[in-house]
Amino acid sequence: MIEIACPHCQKHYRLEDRYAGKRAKCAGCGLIMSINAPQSAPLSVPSAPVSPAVPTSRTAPVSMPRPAAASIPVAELVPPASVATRPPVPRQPPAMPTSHGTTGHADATAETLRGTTSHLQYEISQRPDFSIVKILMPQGAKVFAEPSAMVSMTPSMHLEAGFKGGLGKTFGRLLGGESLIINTFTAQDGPGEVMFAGGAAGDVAYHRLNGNTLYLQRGAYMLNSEDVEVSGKWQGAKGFFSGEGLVLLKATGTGDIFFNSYGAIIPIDVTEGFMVDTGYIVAFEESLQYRVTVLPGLRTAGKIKSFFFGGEGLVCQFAGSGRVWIQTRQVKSFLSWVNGFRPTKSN
Amino acid sequence: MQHQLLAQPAMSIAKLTMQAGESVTCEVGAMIAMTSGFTVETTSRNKGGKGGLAKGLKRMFAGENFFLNHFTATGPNQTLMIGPGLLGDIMHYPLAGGTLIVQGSSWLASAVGIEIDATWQGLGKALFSGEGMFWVKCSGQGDLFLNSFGSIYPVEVNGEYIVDTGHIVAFEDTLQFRIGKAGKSLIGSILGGEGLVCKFSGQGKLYCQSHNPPSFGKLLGPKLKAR
Amino acid sequence: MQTEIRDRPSFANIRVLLAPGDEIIAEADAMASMSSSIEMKTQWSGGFVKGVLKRLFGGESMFVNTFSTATGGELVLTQPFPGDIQCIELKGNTMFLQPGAFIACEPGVKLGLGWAGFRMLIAREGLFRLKVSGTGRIWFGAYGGIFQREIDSEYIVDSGHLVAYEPTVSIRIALAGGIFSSFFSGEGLVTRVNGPGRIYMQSRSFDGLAAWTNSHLY
Repeated sequence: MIEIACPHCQKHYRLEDRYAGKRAKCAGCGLIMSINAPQSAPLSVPSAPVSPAVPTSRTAPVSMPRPAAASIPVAELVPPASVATRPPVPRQPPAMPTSHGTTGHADATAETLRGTTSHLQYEISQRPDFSIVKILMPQGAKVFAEPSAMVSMTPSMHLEAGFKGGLGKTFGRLLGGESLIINTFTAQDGPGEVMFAGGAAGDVAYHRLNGNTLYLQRGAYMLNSEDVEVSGKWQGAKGFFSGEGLVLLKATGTGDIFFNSYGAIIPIDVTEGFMVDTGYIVAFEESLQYRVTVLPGLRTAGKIKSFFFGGEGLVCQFAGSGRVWIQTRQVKSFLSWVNGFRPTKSN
Repeated sequence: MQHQLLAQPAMSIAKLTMQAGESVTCEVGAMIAMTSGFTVETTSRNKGGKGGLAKGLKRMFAGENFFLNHFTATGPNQTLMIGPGLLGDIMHYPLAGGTLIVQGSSWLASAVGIEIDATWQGLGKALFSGEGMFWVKCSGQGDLFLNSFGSIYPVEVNGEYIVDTGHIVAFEDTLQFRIGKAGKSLIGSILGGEGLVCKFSGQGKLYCQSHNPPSFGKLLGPKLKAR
Repeated sequence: MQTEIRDRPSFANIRVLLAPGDEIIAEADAMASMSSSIEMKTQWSGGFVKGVLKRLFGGESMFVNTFSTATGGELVLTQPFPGDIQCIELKGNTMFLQPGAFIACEPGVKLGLGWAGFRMLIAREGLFRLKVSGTGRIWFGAYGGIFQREIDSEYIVDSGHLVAYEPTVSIRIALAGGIFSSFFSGEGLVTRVNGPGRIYMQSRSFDGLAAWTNSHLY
C-alpha cells in the first residue's frame, strides 16, 4: 500500500501499489500530483517536463538565438559569437594568458553546464550573464539556499525557512547587523526540481568540496548540498573589514556548493604574487595566503575621501598557490552610479 | 602594450600585458587585479600629451573626488586587468593621429601619448547638463579603451543618421552633427520619450551603444531606498 | 520588413530594416538610432489600444511611436534594462504578457490591458496584464534571460519571474511554504501555474534587482 499526502492541502490517501508512478487529482483541492513508489525513487527527472520546448508552429518565435559555443580546447577559445552580423569592432581572440605569475582561463562561454554529483544533478543555463541553476534531487534530499534565491520549483518540493546547524552557527554569520537565514528545500513528496538565481546579472559557478575548504565573499553564496557546512569567518582573525569591505564565509565538507557573481567569473590559478581589488573577489581556496592592504598609489596621494559608496581602494594580496575566482564587475561601482537615481528623503 | 578583451560582450574587461617602462592611465576604480611589480601613481593630473595637465578632467568624475591611476610596468610581461563600472562591452581604438570625440562615461583608459580634453563643448553644454553628459576629445597616438552600456555597434555614416543622445559612445570628428527633435513635432518628440536626438551627417565612423544608463537608472531608482 | 534580435541574452536589441509601406509600433523611448529616412509619429496609446497602456515599473508611458519610411531605412530598438528579447508571431491566438515587457509589434497586433485581478496585485505583478492578440509579430523583453517551459501539471514560479503565458495556463497565488517559512524565507508569495500550456520565464526579476541593490544600501 502507498501512503501519500497531497503536497498542497495535506489530505492523506492510502492507495494500492499499482498506482505507483501515476498521476491523480486530489479530491480535496484539485491538485494534480504524482504517486510515488513506496521505497525512495532513484534520482530521476520529476514528472513535470524540464526542458524548454521546441517552439510549435502556433507561436513561432522569430528571434535568432545566440548559438551555443561548442566545447573547444581552452587554448583555442574564441569569443562567443552572438548573432551572425556582429559589428566589426576589432577584437583579439583570447589566448591562454601567459603573464608573469598567473595562469587563467579566457572567456566564459554560453554553453549550458551540466553535472551529476553524489547528492544531486545540476544544470547552469542562460550563461554567462544571467545564469540560473536548476537542481534535480531524489526524494528525501535537501539543499540549503540563500533567501529569495528560488525562481521556481515543482510542487513536490517543500520549503522551510530557518537556521541551519543550530543558533550558534547562525550567529557566527551575524555581521554588521545582517542576519543570515538559510532556507531548506526538501524533495518531500517525490523527486524534485528547483531553480535558483541571484538578484543581479552575473554567472553561477559550481565547486565540489572533497573534505577541503573554500572561502566565499558573503554576497557570492547561493546554495549548497548536504554534508557541506557554511559558516561566518570573524574579521578579527584575518584582518578583513566587515561592512562595506569584504565579508567572508567559509564552506567546508564533502559536497556541492554553488556561488554567484556580479559580472562574469574568471578563475585564476595563482602561482606568484597577485593583487585583486577586494570588490572583485568571489571565492578563493584555503591554500592561498592573503593580506589586505591599501592600493599602493593611494598611500602617496595623501588623505583621500572614499571614491565609492564605502570603498576605500582596498586590495587583497595573494601569495602561495591556489585558485581565486574573480568577477569582472563590483557592487560598489553599481551603487555609486545608481545613487543619483534614488529618491531623496525630502520628497 | 598588448591587450586582450575577456568576458565579452556584456561583462567585458581588458587584460593589458605591459613591458618595463610602458604606462597606462585610467580612473582609480577601474583596476581589478594585477601582478606585482607595477608602479602605481595616483594623481589628479594626466601624464603625457601636450602640457601634462588634464584639461577639464574634473568633469569626468561625478562628485568632488577624481583621481587617476598611472600604472607603469617595471619588468617584462606584467599584467593589469581593468574594467568599467557598469555592465557592458569594451572597445579598443588605436588612435593614429586623428581625433575621436568620446562620451564622458565611455572613456576607460588610454596610453600615455593621448591627449584628453574634457572641456570640449561642440555639442552644446546646456542640452546635456541635466543628464550629466559631457564629451571628451581624444587625440594623439596610442591605445584608447572605451566602454559602453550595452553592446557597441559601429555605423558608417554616409549621408545622415540619427542617434538618441544617450546611445552615442564615440564618433570621428570628421562628422558634422546637430541636435534636433526625433519626430515631426517637438511635443511629440518629448512625450514620445525620445526627446532630443543627434543628427550626424557627412562621412565618418560613429560608435553607438544598444542601451543607455539613464533609462535604466530612472526605472530602478524609484524602487530603491531613499537617500 | 526584416527584423533581427541581436546580442541576446545580455543586451538584446532589435535591428529593423523597413521598406516603404512597412510600419512598426514601439514603446516610447525604445529607439536607439535610425536612418534619417525613417519617420517617427507619436500617438496616444489610448487611441491605439483598447484600454490604456501603462508601464508599471515606475512612471507612466502613455505613448507609442509608429515608425514608417518613404524610401526605406534602418532602425535599432531597445529596452531600458539589460536582458533578453523574444519574438512571438500571433496568428489569431492570444498571449498574456507582463505589461512592462512590451517593446514593439506589427500593426495587426491588438493590445489590450486586462485586469488580472487582486490575485495578481498581491503577487507584485501589478493589477494589469497585457493581452496581445491578432495577427503579426510582437517583441517582448525582460531583465534576465528568457526561456520557455511547457507545463501540463502544477508548477510554482516566484513572482516577477513570469514574463508571459498562454491563456490555457491558470494562475493562482499561494504562500511559498508555511506561514512562518514564507515570511522568513524571503520567498513570500509565489504563483502556482497549472497547464496545459506554455509559460515564458526570466532568469532574473526587476524586483529582485531592486531588493538586491537595497540590501547593499543603508
